[in-house]
Amino acid sequence: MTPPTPATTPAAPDVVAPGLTGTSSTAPAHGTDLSVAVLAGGLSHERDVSLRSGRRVAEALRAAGVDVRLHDVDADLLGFLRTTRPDVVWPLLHGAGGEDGSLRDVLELAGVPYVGTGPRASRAAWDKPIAKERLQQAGLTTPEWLTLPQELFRDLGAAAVLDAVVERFGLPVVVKPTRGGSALGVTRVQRREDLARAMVDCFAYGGSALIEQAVDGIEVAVSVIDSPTGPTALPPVEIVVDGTYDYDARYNAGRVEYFAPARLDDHVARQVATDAVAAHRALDLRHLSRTDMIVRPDGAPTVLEVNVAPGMTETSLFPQAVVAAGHDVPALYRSIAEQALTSVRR
Amino acid sequence: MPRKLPAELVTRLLREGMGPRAIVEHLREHEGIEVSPQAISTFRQRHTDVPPQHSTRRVVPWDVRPEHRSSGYRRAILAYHRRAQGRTLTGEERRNLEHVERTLREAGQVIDYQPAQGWLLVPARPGVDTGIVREPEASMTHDTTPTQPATTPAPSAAAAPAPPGGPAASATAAGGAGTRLDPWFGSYAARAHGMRASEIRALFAVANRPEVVSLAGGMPFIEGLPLDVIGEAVQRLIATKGTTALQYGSGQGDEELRERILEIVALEGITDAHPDDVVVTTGSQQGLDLVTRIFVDPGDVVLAEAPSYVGALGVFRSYEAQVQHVPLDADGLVPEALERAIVQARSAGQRVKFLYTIPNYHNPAGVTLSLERRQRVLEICKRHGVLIIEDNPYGLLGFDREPLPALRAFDDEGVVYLGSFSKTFAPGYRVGWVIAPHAVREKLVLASESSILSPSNASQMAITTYLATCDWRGQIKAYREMYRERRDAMVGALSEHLPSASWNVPDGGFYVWVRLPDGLDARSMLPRAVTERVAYVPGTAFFYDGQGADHMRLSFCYPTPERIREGVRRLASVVNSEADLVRLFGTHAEPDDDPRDAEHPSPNLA
Ligand SMILES: Cc1ncc(COP(=O)(O)O)c(C=O)c1O
Repeated sequence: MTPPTPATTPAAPDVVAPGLTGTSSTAPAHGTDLSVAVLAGGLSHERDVSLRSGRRVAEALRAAGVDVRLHDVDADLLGFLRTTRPDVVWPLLHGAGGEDGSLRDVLELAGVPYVGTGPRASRAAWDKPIAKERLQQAGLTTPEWLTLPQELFRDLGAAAVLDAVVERFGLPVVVKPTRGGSALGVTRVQRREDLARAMVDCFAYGGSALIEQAVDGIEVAVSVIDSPTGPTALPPVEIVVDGTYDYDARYNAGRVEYFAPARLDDHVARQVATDAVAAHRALDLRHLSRTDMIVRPDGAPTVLEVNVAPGMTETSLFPQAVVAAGHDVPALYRSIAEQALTSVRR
Repeated sequence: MPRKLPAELVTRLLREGMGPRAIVEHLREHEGIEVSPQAISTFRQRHTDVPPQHSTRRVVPWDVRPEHRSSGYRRAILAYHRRAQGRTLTGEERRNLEHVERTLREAGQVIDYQPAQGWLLVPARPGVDTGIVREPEASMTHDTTPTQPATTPAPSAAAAPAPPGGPAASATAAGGAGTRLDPWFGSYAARAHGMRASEIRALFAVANRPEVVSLAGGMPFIEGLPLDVIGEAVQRLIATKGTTALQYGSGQGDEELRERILEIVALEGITDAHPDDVVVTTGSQQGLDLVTRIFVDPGDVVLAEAPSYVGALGVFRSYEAQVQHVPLDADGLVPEALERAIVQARSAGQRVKFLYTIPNYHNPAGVTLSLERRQRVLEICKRHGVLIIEDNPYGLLGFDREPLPALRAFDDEGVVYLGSFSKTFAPGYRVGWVIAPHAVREKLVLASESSILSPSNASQMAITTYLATCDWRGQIKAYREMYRERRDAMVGALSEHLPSASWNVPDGGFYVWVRLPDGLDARSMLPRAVTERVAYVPGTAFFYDGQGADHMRLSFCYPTPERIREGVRRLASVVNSEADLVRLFGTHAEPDDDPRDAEHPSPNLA
């Protein structure tokens, strides 16, 4: 029989973050010595997810005694920051604006400390082809890919390009917008005749598509947080989904079974942790990130993508990893905010 | 004694994800080696470099291959597993399942899930494949049990992937501590299966941001009301009659309001109703819910226009009705098609419970049932003994003419009439009403008490006060003029900016129903609209069966004329870019492959 894999992630210092974690002593039960403005919403396709993430994080921070204001991002952002003067801003905007670096530029401009990666690194990580190239340069594996802007199809003819894609990659392939998250606009294509429709659905989200060779295996997400000793991986979370891990599966509880920690052999668990930390470093990420991977049947991980602003909703992977690591969520979020207060800006 | 295993080959097969039983078969066929599945499992355990089998995949057909995606197959697979779990099926589920079982048996096929390819129809192995779905490899579900000889048909329940106990049980079987983040996932009623927010619904989240012109919602323009006057009246009401207004009320509703309602419906020719025939509801939406609750058993047929009001379809779905759409044209529901639908359903042995129709300024189609057709629809329904549910929230909002007589004006026996203050006054009070024949009304009152005890007294009395002290007729007239101006703005902007589409020009109500240029798919296009800061509702929301992707509904009730023109301008650029793309790829509008999930905005999103 299949041996039930032990709760794997070994408590080696390079895998679980001990240093940073707010123990409950760093979280006063009351008293609001720290004020945080949580930014959520925005106008991207992922507004709904962002609002949910924002509410969750605000709730957790309040539980850790932080004075929290939840704010939708609009034209008055600078005015809001000027009048409320939060100690730290925690941007929880997913999608365009939030992750592409532009909001972070504004925060730099305003001179407020904020949680997360700086503008330039955000911009690079947000653009999947650029990020994939950096990952490869750092020696990480990522599925074979092609970037196809819409104009290319106009110039060369859609059928010819798609035929060439299939010739190169075979099937199945995964079609996704080069920018964007939450699996929006993503299709796994099994048959040549479904490829055109997948491209149309993808281009509705943006002018450029990424086509990847589909990789089968165990889906895991590894969250990374910065600790005094450097970036540290939280236990990998394994995703077992009925069907594809699409928007519905991500945000309506039920179709996905999560295993935190993932049921991986020790050496594989160590490998995904190492790779996630390497990805965090390669993309110059700060404070927190999440790397989504497939562990192939031979045990080798392949990085699908790296998220600058991982989802923080009820069904999101980052909070599950925090719990699996044995951390108190409010205390850990508070310590991330405190870290932003003290960290040197890039 | 089993022979020694060819280690390399077995390792490779295991790595490819093949289960022990399949490997046994493979070895027998290709290598002439007889081994037991147990030996393979033991081998896998010893050779830790072979990754453990992934957890059992619950066989829920979300990724049925497109050719098998017809909701018939999908529903059959779901029903098959539900039955295996000992759950009861609705009549419609049973019929569909039996149909699929018969078809597959005759074709000698079963449905098989292949991790790499999804769901396939494959030749059935005689004696092994007993149901419509091939059982997962024994190894994947219960490795510890002694393997059955391949010829013994596995009882389908044994392999039913989701035990009634739900997620906890399946997690234990897989050996880890998995969670579905919803401990009640296995407990929901069948009718809750579609109650999921979709990607499309999430896109509407931007609709109430001021940067976005929303042509998606059905919110009336409340700023048009004399809020100061209403405010004073309500203050007086609580000060003088607060002990009643804030107390429980009667299940049937406030009597004074029911009398007032008769004044309103008299404008549409309903003059023979008595206050006792009126049941006040929490919006006409609750009226719809009550009527469906008392008439519809799972599997019963409800006839509705194609397209029809998304909120009504949601109610019908929650009572597991089967909706048959009947076409409409510029003059509303087509009587001949209605009669055909009744006859066809009856001859197929189905029970037709009622016709649900929106005769005036249809949501979403914008059309009105002509006077001549009203008589014919009444006559057909009477002849076939089919009840009519007349849903009429927009009847008084005609732009160019006095209201046509309601269907109920001609027939007090065969029509249940639903009315509402939401569109002519204010939806925030949530007050609507039902006028029904006495026996139906008695049941409606009891049904309403069992769901809400009584409609809000405070709301009802506020409306009564408004009707008594404000010029409500003048207000409706003002609304009509305002909405006419907005309709003109929308239709004008459509002609100017979107000549490649086609639409009707509604002479009342809130909506324009737009047919997109050939090939465009309103669902697929919505993200592009969000990027351009404009929102609409894809036509698929208004069909029970996933049709309608070639249409979109635009509403002109909430934005100002200037915003409407801006919205249509943005929409035109969206449509034009999408048209380019569609031409490039040669794609078409496609049916929504899961019409059950929620793909409309929530009511407070413009
Ligand atoms: C046709 C139709 N029926 C019923 C309703 C529900 O209205 P109420 O607010 O009275 O529940 C609406 C609202 O949009 C509608 O368009």
